[in-house]
Amino acid sequence: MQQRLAHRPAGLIRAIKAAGSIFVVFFAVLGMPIRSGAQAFPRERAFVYGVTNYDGRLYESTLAPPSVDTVYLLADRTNVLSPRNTLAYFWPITNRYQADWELMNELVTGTLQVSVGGRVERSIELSEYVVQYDIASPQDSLALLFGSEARAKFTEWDKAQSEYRTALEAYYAAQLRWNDQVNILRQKSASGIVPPNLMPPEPLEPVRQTVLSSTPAQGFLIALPVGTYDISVIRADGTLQPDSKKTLVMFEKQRDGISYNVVPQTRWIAAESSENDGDVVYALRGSTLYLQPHLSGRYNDLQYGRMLDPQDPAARPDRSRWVAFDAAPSSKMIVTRGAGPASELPSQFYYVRQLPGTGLGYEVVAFDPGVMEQPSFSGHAIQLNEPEIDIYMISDTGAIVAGSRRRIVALNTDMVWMPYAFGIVPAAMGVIVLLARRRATRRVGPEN
Amino acid sequence: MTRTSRLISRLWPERLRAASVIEGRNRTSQLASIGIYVIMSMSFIAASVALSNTVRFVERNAVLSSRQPLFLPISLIVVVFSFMLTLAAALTVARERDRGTFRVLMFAPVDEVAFVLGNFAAQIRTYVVMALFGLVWASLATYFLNLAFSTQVLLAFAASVPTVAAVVAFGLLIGIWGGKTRTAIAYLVLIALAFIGLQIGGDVVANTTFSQSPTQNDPIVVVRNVIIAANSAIQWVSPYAQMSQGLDAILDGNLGKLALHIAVTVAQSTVFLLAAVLVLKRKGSG
Repeated sequence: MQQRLAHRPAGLIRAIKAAGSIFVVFFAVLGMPIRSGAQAFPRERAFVYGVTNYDGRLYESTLAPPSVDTVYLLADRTNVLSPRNTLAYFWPITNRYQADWELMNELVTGTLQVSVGGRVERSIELSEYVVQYDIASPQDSLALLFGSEARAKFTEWDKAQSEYRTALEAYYAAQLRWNDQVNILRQKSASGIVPPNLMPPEPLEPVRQTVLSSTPAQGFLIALPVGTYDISVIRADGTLQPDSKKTLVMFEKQRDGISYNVVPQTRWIAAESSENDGDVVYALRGSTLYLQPHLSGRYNDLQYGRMLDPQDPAARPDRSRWVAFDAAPSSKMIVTRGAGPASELPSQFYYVRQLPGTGLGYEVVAFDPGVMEQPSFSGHAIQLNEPEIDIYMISDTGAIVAGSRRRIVALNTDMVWMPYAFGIVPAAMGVIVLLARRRATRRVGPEN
Repeated sequence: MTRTSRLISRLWPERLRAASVIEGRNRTSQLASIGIYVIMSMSFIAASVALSNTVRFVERNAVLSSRQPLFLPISLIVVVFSFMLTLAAALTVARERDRGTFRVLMFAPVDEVAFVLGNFAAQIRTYVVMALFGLVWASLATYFLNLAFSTQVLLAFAASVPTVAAVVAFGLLIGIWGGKTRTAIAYLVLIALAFIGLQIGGDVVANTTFSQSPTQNDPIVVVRNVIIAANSAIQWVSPYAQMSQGLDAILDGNLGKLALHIAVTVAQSTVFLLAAVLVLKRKGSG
C-alpha cells in the first residue's frame, strides 16, 4: 500500500510531463508562424467593357466585368464603351472585380450591336477618341473628341505639353544661373546686399498648362435616347464576342436644382447640405451661416450609382440622389427679411484664424489677400436675427433660378417642452370625460 | 326601372339608416371612454420626442436642412391612431360574434353590409376627431417652435384619412375572419406589426451607412434587398406603404402621384370591406 502510494506521485509526474509534452507540441504546431507571402489572386482572361461615362459634369472611367449584366449611362450624351480582353481578378479589399491592364489590354475589334426587343436598332463601329478639358472651367471646356479631330487635338495638346516641359527645364536652368549671379553679386557687395539697380532680372516661370487630356483610345461612341437596350459585340470575323451581351440602360436627370452647402460659423468644417427646393434650413437665432450655392441634378439612385460603379451593390432603385456639381455660375443671391425689401447678398472669401493659446478655438474673418495666404472658404454670409429669411438666386437675365428658393428659420429651441405639454391635454380631457360620465351614471342610479 | 334597381333603391336607405345607428352607438361609446384620450396623449408625447430630437439636433449642430420636420411625428401619430382604431374595430366585431349579440342584431333590420359599414364609419369619424386634435398639436408645435408653416401638414393629415380607412377596413376583415376575439387580435397584431415593421425596417435599413466596400454577400445588403423586395410586393396591399409614398409625393409637390396613392388606398379599403362582408355572410350569424 505504502509502495503504491510512494509510486503514485512519480507516475502522476510522468503523466503530467507526457501531457505537457503533447500540449507543448500541439500548441507549437498551432503557433507555428504562418509563412508570409504575396496576396496574388488568380487572374482569368475575361472580356470587359471599359466605360467612359459622362456623369453630368465630367467624364469618369469605370469597368463592366462579366459579373455585371447591366450598364447605366446618361441619355443623349456621348459615352464610350471600349471592348477589351484583359486579365480579371477579384480584389477582396474593395470587393470588386479588377482588370490587370498591365498584363493584358487587348482591344476587341468588331461592331457594337444595339437592339431593342430583339431588333437591331444600330450598329456602331469603333472610333478613336480623347477626352479633354480645362481644369480652370471643366464644364465649359469639356470635350469628347473622336476620329481625326481626336488625334489632331491630342497631338496639339501633346506638343503643348512638350513645349511646357522644355520651357520648365529652361526655367529651372535659368533660375540656377540667376541664383549663382545673385550669390556672386552678394559676395562682391560690402554689405552683403545686392543693390536693386545691379540685380539681374529674375527668370519668369512658364505658364502652367491647365488643359488635361486622355490618351487616344478606341471605343464605341454611344449617344442614345432614354430607354433600355441590349448590346453585344460582333467580332470582325462575324462571331459573337462571349460575355459581351449586356443590358444598356440610358437614363436622364429627374430634375435640375440648386443645392446649398450651409456652413454654420460655429462648425465651419461640418456643412449641412440643402438639396431640395422645398427644404427649410433651421438654425439658431443670432447665428451666422455661409451659403454656398451649387448647380445640382436629381437622379435615380440605382441608375446614377451603377453608372459610376457598375459593381455598386448599395444603390437603390426606389431612391433618388442629388448630385452637386460646380458652383452656381454668375448668379446673384437675393435675400428678403420678413416684409422688408429684397437685397443682394454678395459672396465673399473668408479666412479661419486659429485663436492663440492651448485651448481650441477659431474665428472667421473676411479674407485679406494682403496679409493672408489663401481663403479657407467662400460663401454668402447671413446673420439670422429675424424669425425667418427667404433667399433665392437670380440669373443674369433677372429670372429666378429654378430650385434656388430656400427659407431659413430661427428655431425656438427654448420652447421644446411645449409639444409635450400639449400632449398631456387629451389625457386631461379624458379624465374630465370619465368624471362627467361617472357623475351622470350616479345621477341615473337605481334609486332614480 | 328594373326590379333589381327598385330593390336596391329601397334597400340602401334602410341599410344606411341601420349603419348610421351602429356608427352612432360605437362612436359615442368610444368617445366616452378614457382609452382614446390616453392613446392620443401617448401618441403626441411620442411625436414630441421625435420633434424634440430634431430641435436638439439643431442645438448641437447649429443647422439642419429638412423638407418637413413634422412628417415623422405625424407618421407616428397616424400609425398609433390607426393601430388603436383597427384594434377597436376588430375587437368590436369579434366580440359581437363571441357574445352572440351579432345573432340578435341580425333579427333587427340590419344586414351584413350595414353592420360592416356602421362599424367602419364609427372608426373613421372617431379618427377625424383624433386627426383634428393632431392638427391642433402640429399647429401649436409649429407656432411655438417657429417651424415653417406649411400646407403640407394639412395635406398630410387629410391624406391620412384614406390610409386609416384602409387599415380599419383591414381590421374589420380580420375581426370577422378571425372568429374568436383572441384569434382575431393575434392575427391583427401579427399582420399589422409585419406591415409596420417592414415599413419602418425599410426606412431604417435604407438609411444605414454601408461599410466602405459592401459586397453582395454583406448581411445588411441582403437584408435590405429582402426588405425592398418585400416592400415592393406588399406596397399594393399595405396602406402604410401607400401613406409613406403619399407623403413623399406631398414633399415633391406631385399632386398627381398623391392622388394615385389615395386612389390605391381607397381601392384597398373597398376590397377589404367587400371581403369583410363576404366573409361575414359566409360565416353567418353563428
